[in-house]
Amino acid sequence: MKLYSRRFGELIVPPEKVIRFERGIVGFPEYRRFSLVDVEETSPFLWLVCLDEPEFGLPLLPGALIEGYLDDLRPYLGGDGDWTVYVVVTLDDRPERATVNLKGPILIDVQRRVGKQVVVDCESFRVAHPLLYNADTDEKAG
Amino acid sequence: MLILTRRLGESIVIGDVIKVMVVGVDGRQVRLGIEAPGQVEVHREEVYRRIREENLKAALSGPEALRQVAEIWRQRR
Repeated sequence: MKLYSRRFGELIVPPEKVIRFERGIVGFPEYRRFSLVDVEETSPFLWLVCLDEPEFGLPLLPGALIEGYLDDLRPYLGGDGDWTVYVVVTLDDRPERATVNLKGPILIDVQRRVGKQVVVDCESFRVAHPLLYNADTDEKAG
Repeated sequence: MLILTRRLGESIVIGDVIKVMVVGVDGRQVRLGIEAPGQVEVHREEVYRRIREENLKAALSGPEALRQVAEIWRQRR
């Protein structure tokens, strides 16, 4: 399928790249079809673009790139799929203030082409976890 | 809103498949036990709202902001 968005320009998404989110994502249950869009210059980050609403896209980072995260997350995930874990990135006007959402990861099963966003019931995972700097140490250090 | 009074150990049922039981009361805190089928998601309301807000904020991000973050990220590796 071919679609156009202001942010991503023209996108051509072959059928095998369509990922179904049966329950949408949190707050957006009506958005069901997504695709992972890889832009070389922002690697390893990528975009989860909604095919039902191409202006809606979430920047993602593979959860494996956040130290210790997958190990901490594993006990909270059911064994119902071969999930690749991504975290949603929230960008600020200042790049150093970018955060990742460790409490609501996006899980994608590439083989089955399905995805979901889960809410992890763990107090130590933050919705806005600093991505580039440790707020407790780096900011005090200047 | 339907309001019901329940004692410790008592339950309410919602439809045929959802059951909510009062399993503990301690001052202003109430512990609830919930039985629901797998396809019904149960969340603490404030956490669910917070994640929804964060999704909305993240969806406003632009490619240029991500490019800047990606550059810093790669430099730090």
